[in-house]
Amino acid sequence: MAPDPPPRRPPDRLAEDLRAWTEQAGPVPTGEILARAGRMAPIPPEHRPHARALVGMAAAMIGVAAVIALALVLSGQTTPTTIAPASPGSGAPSTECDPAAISRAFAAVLPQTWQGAEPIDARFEVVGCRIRVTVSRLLTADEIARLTRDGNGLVDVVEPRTGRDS
Amino acid sequence: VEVGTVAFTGNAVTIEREVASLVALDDLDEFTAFVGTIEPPLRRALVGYYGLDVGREAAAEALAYAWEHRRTVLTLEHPVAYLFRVGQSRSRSIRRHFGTGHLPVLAEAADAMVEPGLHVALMKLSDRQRAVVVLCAAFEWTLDEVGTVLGVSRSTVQRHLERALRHLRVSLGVPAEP
Repeated sequence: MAPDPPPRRPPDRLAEDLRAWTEQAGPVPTGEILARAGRMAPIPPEHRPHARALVGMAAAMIGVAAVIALALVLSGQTTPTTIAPASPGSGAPSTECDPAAISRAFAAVLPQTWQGAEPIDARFEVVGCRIRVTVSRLLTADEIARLTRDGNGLVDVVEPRTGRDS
Repeated sequence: VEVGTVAFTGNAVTIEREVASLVALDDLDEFTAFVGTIEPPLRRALVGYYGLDVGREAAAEALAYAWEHRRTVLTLEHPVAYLFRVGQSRSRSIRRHFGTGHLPVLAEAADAMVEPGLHVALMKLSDRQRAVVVLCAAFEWTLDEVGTVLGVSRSTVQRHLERALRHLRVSLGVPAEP
């Protein structure tokens, strides 16, 4: 059996009903307020860095980062190439290894199309700090000299018959 | 005004005048007195606006804000209006917690002697209409006091009040006053 519905109050007591409805949400005691405030306690003003100081710190950090980046870029551009050109045909390994110099040398020797008296197959590879060119036939002295010159002395030529570096 | 004896009179202007006289007291005592004065009207305004659960939560959060910023809040000319705005701001996250689209009822509300159809009838009102009818009809705030807290003009408050009363009469089956 369903329970009896709650009695309706007289319709002229709207104000009283509204008060009763509103006061169902009980008061908020000071203790609860302080507990909530403690939960989200702000940083005391004396420990709170000023917004302007934060901006200044951020700007200083950005500035330092920019200076470091600039220094790195400039050092990369101005570092002298330390690879001394080896004497032609010597194949003497350089004591320094500069990737930029290797790249330049590699780009310089690659266009060699070997349109000499006879066609030739060549495989170019970077081995350590030098460029190894493995060719399918013996090279003439001029061809070796040209490779060595264009490769800034960083090229080692491997010929088929000897199987060893020139 | 003595600490702990400040009572809500129903007149927001009087309350604010009393609050202004409390500023010189020590922090906690001063704030306790402030809460005793400001909490009832603030809670009623927010409960009227957002309903029971969200309104009370918003009031508690606004008062927590008041404690954190008591140096500023206690010197305000209209602390109820200011904290009502704070409560509105805090209510966004509260409403996400309680959900939206309905007017929550506290668990113990079922035992209260409240007109059974009133809650549903209040649900059908807009937030402002509900706040206005609660503050004006139930707690006898003046139109100006309600307008100050809600940030609307006196004529707007009056319009909301008339519409809210008309809707409530229709919803509750109460004949219009002669």
